[in-house]
Amino acid sequence: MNSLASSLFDVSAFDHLSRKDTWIHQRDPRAKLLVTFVYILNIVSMTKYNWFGLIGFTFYPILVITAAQLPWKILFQKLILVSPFALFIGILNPWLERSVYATPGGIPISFGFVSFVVIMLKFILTTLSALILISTTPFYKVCIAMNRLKCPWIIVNQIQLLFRYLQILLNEALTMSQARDMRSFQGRGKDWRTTSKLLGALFLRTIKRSERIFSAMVSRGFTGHLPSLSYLRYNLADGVYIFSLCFAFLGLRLIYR
Amino acid sequence: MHMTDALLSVNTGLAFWSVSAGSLAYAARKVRQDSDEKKIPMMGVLGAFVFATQMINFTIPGTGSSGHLAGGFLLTIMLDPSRAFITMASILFIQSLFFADGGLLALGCNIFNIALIPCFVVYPLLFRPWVKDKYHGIRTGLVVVLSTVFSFLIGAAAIVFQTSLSGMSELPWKEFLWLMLSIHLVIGLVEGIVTLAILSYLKNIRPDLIGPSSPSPLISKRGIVASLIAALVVAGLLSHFASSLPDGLEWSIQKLVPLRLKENSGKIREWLGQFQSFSAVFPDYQVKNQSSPSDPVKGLGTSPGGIIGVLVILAFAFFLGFILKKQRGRAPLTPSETNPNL
Repeated sequence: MNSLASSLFDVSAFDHLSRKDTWIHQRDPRAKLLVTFVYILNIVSMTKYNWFGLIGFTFYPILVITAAQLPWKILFQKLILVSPFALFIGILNPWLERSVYATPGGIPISFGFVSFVVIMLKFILTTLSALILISTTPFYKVCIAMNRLKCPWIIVNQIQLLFRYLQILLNEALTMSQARDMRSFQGRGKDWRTTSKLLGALFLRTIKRSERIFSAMVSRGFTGHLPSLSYLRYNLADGVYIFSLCFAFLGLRLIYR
Repeated sequence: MHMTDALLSVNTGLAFWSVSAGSLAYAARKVRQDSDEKKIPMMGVLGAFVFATQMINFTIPGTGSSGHLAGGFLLTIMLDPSRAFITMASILFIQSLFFADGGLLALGCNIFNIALIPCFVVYPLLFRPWVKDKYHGIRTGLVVVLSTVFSFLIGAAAIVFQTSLSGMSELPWKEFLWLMLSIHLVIGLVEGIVTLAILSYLKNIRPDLIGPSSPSPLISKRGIVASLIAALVVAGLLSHFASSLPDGLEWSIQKLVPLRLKENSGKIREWLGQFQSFSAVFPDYQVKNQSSPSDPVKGLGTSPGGIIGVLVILAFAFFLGFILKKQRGRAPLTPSETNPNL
């Protein structure tokens, strides 16, 4: 696997990070979901030229990343790799809105540039908050939390199953693609005709696998519902976590309006 | 293409979240009614299949670049719309968390653009009426390609709509729309042709898999029209809010805060105001282009107090982080660590 693809599709890194046992990791997954959502809402609601307030909001990722002992490097690698849609759309702003915002040291800075910076800051902070959530909370706990927050079980089931089969099938596809690439000279056999047959074969294997999985599940008592043993209970620390962070967000939002 | 949080406004994000969540609840109810347990692991594995196809690139004829299948409409044809919708929504959820594609607020928009449109708009309105019960012939092929193209085009238009409704980008919507439509026309055509090729391959080998999965479609046409109208009304109402008010959250803050502060005499407000003017480098701008050139824009760093304020906050965050850092126990080994092949 080339390094780009491996880091793009590597889920296990987060899985590993989420199994640490710091104070942040111990918080109730519902509390972390809630805080993440309030944070994102606050970030997104910042006005178009409010770059300064957004810098204040970096306190949350800094706090959680240091407290949960997350590696900055992995998180930022992920940030850089992800879809550059925000960059593509935002980078045109400096050309589209040229009126001057400020001239520090004689260099004129346009409103468009400031709004571009704001878009990129928002992109970094919102993306980082999602990555923080997933690297401080094991995925199955996120699913339990969603179930407890009244998300229909059929959707939670689906997400859990998808997550479990994801890596297996990724490996299968990787093997196929590697086998093809090793037999391909000057790009032969990489056209869409051959590839669609390859994909069709992968599909058939997938169906076979799902039939096998289903009979395995039925023989172990599956009735259409994935049961879970763990239950959740809020404690005082979770309350402290939710209230202090949400108040901090709202406070910042008020001060740097 | 995925919509991102950074280009959204709160109102647009929440409006599309409510539409997507509503249709998810609807699809979940439909699937439960029809209770075919065998399809539950099938949905999970097919979702993983869509991920896996993205590992296999092919060269796009005429361009020399390579691309991969998105797989949305293939799922819709192989499963039924409701199951395909839930499967694609779950794919988007995992993408937003682990692959940082889009974001949690933009997830509502992404479910709408990428899952809801092919499953609940294009499939019942275009695919179903044209391809009735027999899945063969040139007409079916054409309809598969056309449906895929239309799913992409409508999705692209929805992205433009969401971006310009949110107002974070300065792009003029007409040019943006044409750009997005032309890009997605090409992508959609390629996707449609590959989807068709996969379908015809599958039909040769496993003809039992291909075909209308349920005799009665799980969703009625009237239901679609009603939900689309509801979605547009919700989006329209909220966008009206978005245009007349600065922003939903800001508005609610303005509504809430004075009430609280009035009770505690004017002191806190005074203090807050002082702190705000002390700490903010620039006050809130309502400026649109050169509407007020004489605004107090003097230069960066006019208020050292503001910078110190932020530095204090960040230093405090670091400090608190280090205090909380103490780990209570050893991290247990994960399966992936003990067995790299898992």
